[in-house]
Amino acid sequence: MPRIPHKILAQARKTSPLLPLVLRGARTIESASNELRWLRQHVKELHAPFPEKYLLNLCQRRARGEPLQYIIGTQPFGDLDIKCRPGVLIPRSETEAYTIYLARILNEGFLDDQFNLESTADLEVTSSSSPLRIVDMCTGTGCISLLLYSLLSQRFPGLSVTGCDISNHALRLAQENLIHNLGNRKCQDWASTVNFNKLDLFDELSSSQIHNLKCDVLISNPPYISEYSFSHETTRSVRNWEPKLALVPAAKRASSVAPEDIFYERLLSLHRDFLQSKILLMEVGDDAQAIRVAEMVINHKTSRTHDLVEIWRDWPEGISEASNNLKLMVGGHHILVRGSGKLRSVFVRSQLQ
Amino acid sequence: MFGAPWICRRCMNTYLKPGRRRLIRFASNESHGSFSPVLLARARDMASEHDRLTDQTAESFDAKIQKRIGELKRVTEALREWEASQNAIQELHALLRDPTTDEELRELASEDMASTRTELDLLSQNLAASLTPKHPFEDMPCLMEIRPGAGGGEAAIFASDLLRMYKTYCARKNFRLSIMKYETSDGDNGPGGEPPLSEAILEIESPGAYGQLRSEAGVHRVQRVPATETKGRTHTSAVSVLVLPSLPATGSDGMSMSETDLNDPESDYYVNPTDVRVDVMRARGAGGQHVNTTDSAVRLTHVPTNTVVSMQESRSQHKNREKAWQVLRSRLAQARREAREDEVMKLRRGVMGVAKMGRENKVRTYNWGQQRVTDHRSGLSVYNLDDVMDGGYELDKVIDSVKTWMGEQEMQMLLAEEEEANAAPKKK
Repeated sequence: MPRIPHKILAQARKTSPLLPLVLRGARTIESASNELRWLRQHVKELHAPFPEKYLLNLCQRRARGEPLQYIIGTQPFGDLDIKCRPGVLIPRSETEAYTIYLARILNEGFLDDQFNLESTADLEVTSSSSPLRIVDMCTGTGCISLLLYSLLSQRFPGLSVTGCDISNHALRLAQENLIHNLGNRKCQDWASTVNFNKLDLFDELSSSQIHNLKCDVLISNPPYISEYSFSHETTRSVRNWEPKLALVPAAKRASSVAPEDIFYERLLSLHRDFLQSKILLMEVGDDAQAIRVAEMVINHKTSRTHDLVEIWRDWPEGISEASNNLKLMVGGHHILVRGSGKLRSVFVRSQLQ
Repeated sequence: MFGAPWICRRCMNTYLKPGRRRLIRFASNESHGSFSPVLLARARDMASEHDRLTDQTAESFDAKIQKRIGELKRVTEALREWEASQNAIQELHALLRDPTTDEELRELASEDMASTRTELDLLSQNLAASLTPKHPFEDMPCLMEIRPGAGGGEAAIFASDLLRMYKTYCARKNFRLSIMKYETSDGDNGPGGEPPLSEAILEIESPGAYGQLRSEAGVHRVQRVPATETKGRTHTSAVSVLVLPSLPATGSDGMSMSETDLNDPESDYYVNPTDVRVDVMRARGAGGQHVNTTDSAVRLTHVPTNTVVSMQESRSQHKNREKAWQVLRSRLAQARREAREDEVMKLRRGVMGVAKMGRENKVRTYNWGQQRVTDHRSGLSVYNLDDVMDGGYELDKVIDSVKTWMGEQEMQMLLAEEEEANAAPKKK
């Protein structure tokens, strides 16, 4: 991590004595000024008894690298306000981007044929063989589940969203977030629900578990950082403050894929064999991993389903730049690449043949 | 022309120099005694159209016709009242001239005459006002952008003073106000210890805000001894204020604008997404789970007009993006409307002697030494500077005077337009 030049520290000190502290955490003056402004707002909202002392305390914590989201305690995610706590991964803006995009294409009816849904003139789904079910693996704070619920519950009555995580700590936080964000919402349809369950993804699933987890959309932001990448490519504030459990897959058993890809292998087998979901969306770490995952999907074709694979970039709704490819060649197939930014997620759409 | 019976030579030399024309207003305060025949003809046309359409809709209901009827209603009613008042005056006149009426009746008639005259004045103003087309953005909520201009740190301090003034003014008028963007720049801190303002955008969400605050757009000039000044010299600085119509993000109550307007390429509000370049802070390295930065700044650049909107107020990139789109739409709609107005004005040769509301024109001067606020458009000078800076009733006075002035300007333009329209076919 490059050292902050003295000139910049001096410039920061001129604006405010607190700014160099925040600068040590935020690393650039622009983001440090914004963070200081938000910290000030936070202290004002709390009506702390000794505001200046409290603000100084918060800035000192930030200087040590503690993430701003843990200090303030929340992170905005779409229109929601997600509570954050040490021990649970902080929601990222790239996750927000593809979640919102998925909700948008579901709401605009692009995937209606997938679910045998019929929509009326106002695009409200009236008849379907069964209500929409979504499962979110490695849910953490529950941000993806809650955001999808808030965006889709109007158009899909009877929507049920299930979030699973291995950590009890995360599940407790997800439950708090559920109450904090959707608690005062009057459910228009009493059947629509959001649930959080404990689940170790690599355990053998019992038949009742399989039955409960059967879904139409399987979405996940699994740990995908390799050990090498963790030591060399993550920022200090991630390395020292966020839980490694959520970032680096723990080596389980011998498998044919690279250690950082084991979650994808398991998610793919769940999607194909057990849960029969029609849509699978998984976040990936970088370009190479995206291509590996796409290859995994294409090579393990089953005869039962016809798969459509897409790769989405950081901002799937953005306009791709000239230098970026619109299609990638993977395993002999062309894959559509959407949006602008780095390769961020792999989207699989399976249709029964 | 001047209203004064005699002007001394000294005044003649000072005030009538070519450079000092701004003290002359090109607008009079007196009302139109007799109504312009051209406008009257137009009003009568609109009234007859209104009656015709009402008969039509008695049989079948058509939304478009109803809308047109609604528009014409104002004029028709104003015309009816005016005609009634006109007739009343005729009758009273006849009564007064008739030699057979007795004294009592004559006295009553002359009293009535005076009051009816004033009523007629009011009604003719009303009629003229109803004939001038309403500004299309009149009922919308607005965005107000305040930017310091020439004058460095002092301009930034005055910009924050103006911000406070508008905040208290809106609070008093019960307008819902939120600060959308408050950006500070590096530089010496102001007297309160806060960093100097570089750009502020206020969002005033109450309907009708644009119509009320439209008069504030332009360059406000301040003359005072700055807080940073050691020697006590008076400095002049400027702050520019822009008022933009705020287009609702999603269809909200009371707006006649619908989703179709947003997507209609012909409408003012349409912004082609491919024309806009979105710049977001990008994480160096891998991104995703590898970093947890709070960079949420979004910058939208509209490539054809080179309009740039940057927003980093909220912690959520999604919210910043929405707000930035809102500001971009407002700015483009305003720019398009101004471009169209420009075109129209070029066609009306030379009626508008006074310049339009552009950024380059000083609209108001705040002079601390004389405790005076002067608006250069309406010519009104108010001597209670502190009350104005607190957003009090004096500010109300100034704003109302400018609104009246703007109304009169529009009426004159309408008149000229009508006369030209009548003259043109005659030429052929």
